[in-house]
Amino acid sequence: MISVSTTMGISPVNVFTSDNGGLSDEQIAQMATDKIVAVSEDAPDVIRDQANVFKENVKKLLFHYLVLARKEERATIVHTIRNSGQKDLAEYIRRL
Amino acid sequence: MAIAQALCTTFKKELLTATHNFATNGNAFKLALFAEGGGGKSSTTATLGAASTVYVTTGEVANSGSYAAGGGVLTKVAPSNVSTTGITDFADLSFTTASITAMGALIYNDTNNNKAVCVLDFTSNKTSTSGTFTVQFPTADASNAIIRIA
Repeated sequence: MISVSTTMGISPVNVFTSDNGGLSDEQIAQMATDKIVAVSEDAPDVIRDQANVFKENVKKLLFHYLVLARKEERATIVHTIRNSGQKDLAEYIRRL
Repeated sequence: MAIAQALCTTFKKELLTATHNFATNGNAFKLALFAEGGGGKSSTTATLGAASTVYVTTGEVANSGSYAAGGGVLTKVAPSNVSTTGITDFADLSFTTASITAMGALIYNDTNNNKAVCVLDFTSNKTSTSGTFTVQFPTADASNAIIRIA
């Protein structure tokens, strides 16, 4: 008799939710980090600990640049709206 | 448990009959959200697991924001081999401006009679209120990809 065996697997997903608006910078940083650094549950403790420290550093870096990106994009939007004569709206968005 | 994470049993057979094509130009797959404990439409509770064969509306969350009955279309990532493991993946899926409470999801083949692929168990209720509800798929590697054949 000839047979070939194989295994199929399915992994859990992450769910991120928000109230009264979009996801926060921290949530998006977490999402990106989870995609960049995956640590196997079977990894030796020493390697897993090291990977988790690296993961936390990546998350902090991403968070910093996400905040910067949002801030710079808002500055561009404020500039465009102010140039179109909507000074009050521009000021409102600037203060967000 | 009303929602239990699993690859659907019929899906395993249907792979051998070429029912599902995950190539980027292949079939369309959708993800629908479901509730337990009367959180879905008409206070129905979802019962989903390995025995699920097709998309059903029982227990599906109500329309809200960008979420509409049947769920959202998944953007496929072409199947590939990682070492000796075959994997497939999807882009993360978000529903915006939505008030949703969901306990799990069903991925199904929208092209081929809504045949079920797999059930995802969120393990606890996830809630958005006039906000964003995002399902993030795991890293597409041999150990973590959403669907793997080793």
